[in-house]
Amino acid sequence: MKKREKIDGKVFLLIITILLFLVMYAAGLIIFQSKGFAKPQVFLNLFISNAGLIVIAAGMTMVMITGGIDISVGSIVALTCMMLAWMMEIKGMGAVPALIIVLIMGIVFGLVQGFLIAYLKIQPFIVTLAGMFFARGLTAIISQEMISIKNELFLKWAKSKINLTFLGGTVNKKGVVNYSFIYPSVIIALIVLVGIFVLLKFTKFGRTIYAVGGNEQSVSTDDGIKCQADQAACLCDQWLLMFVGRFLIRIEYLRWLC
Amino acid sequence: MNKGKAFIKRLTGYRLFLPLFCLVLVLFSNLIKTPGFFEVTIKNGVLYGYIIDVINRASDLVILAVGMTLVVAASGGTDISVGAVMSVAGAVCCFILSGGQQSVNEFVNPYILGVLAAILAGILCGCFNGFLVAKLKIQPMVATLILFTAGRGIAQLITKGQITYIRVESYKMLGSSIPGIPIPTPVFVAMIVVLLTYVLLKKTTLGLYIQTVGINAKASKLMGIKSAMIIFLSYVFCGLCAGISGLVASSRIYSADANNIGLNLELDAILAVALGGNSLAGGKFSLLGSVIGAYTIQALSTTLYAMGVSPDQIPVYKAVVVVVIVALQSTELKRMVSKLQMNVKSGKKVA
Repeated sequence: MKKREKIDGKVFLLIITILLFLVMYAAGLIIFQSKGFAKPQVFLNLFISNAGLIVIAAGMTMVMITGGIDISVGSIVALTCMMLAWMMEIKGMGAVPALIIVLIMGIVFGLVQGFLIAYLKIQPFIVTLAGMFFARGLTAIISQEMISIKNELFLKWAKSKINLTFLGGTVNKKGVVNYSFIYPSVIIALIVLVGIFVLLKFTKFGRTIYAVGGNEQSVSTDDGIKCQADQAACLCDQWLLMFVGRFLIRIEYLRWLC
Repeated sequence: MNKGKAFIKRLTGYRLFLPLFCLVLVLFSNLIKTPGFFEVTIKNGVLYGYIIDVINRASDLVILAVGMTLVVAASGGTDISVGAVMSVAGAVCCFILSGGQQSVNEFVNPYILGVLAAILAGILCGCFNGFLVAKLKIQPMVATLILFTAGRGIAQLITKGQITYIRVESYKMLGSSIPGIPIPTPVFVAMIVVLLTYVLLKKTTLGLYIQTVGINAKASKLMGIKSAMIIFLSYVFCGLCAGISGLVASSRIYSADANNIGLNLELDAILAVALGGNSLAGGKFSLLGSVIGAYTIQALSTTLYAMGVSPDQIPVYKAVVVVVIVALQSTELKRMVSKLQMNVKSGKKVA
């Protein structure tokens, strides 16, 4: 008779979360069947609406594995949104330069916070709290009113649907075939997700992150691993990811705005 | 010259030096832009002036910071639900005093009943948090996140979604001033809370136990100290402080505004604890440090308002100042600086 392995604590929690998701989805299917809950588009909408969140969560995972936390992400999303809008509308910049600047700004934000946390050993909560305040204040300084984005290239990106024809379509009342669709943001989110997964599982850097999270002191006394540099580096990367997440959320907001 | 150096070394060696120094720095930076900052006059029998405003408005924060200090010291975690608990306490108090109506001109139930109910509400919230952290060993930030999210909803339920007004003169006294006494009442409340807590910590072994548990909970348990109970009590105390603070805040606006009472104050409370030189990882703590930190944050806010900065933009300056102060206090920075000094000295000697 084979001995059953004890289910690992982490896996157990994951199973519960998955079960919860399935239960809620099933409940939705049963209760809202008549209102079209059973369409595959509903499932895809989950990804469309949360593409930005997926990216941010991927980055946040890396931060949390090292034992830190970042509560500034939300405000930095707002800041990057505002900067994009301001640069494109009021300064009249093109979409691509604006995006690149905003990307760099996200990395810089991350670098500064990472330095303070990893090298000056200030508590992550405090640093990211300050970051949150800072970003929020900067957003208000840039503009107190809403700026709607009318840049054509940006809007084109935001609105371009990717039709998934293989999932089949439905014919609506006007006789037009509606396919299930997703937006490019979902593809970006999935790429980032897979990328982070690969980074964490298969690279030395990823393993170091786990090691730092496990026991920072023993990592730093190991000659083979430069703890501080790695910790700062992984904190910076988190921000890089987080900022990519903000980028996507921007696109989402645009969709709502239009 | 040596005596001077020795004096400075001793001065900077005091734990509270840096927090006090920062407070003084913030206050004196006012002299540049607002010369009338330190003016104190008496209007309507009450002391009036920027400084008085700082001390008055900081009282809510001071009470919160006292509770937060104990939580941080005992468990290394933070209680981010205090703002919401303030809101709940205010809602409970106003609900009892108004008997469920939206606006009253006299107390429906005795005032003391409202006060006790609010304090009890705070304690109950603290018990909830404490149970989750101490017994179920959930991460403090996650556990208090529950009340942080749900607290204001609960307060809304109690006030039925309306702002409950208590238009009774004696209710306002807690938040503004008792006739005949020029100092605003919240200042007294804050002082009493700080004093009582200090006495509690010094005259009983509670202070010692909290520090022990904070530094190493497992070792304390092996020594026979009930770590779980101490951590639980610290959260209950934090809830109590939040309840008192909620009472003061609600009395200031003589109503229960479920959405705005204590909004974002939890973050300020944590900042106050950090500014006071306390390590957010737990262990040794300084109550006085947190109090100084609370006044510093309030002084910073008032300074910025006095300089004419718009309320939306204040967070930027707050953030920068906080990071600078905390960076100055970080031991890593001191190590870097002393290394630099040593390199410079040895460089000079070699040259």
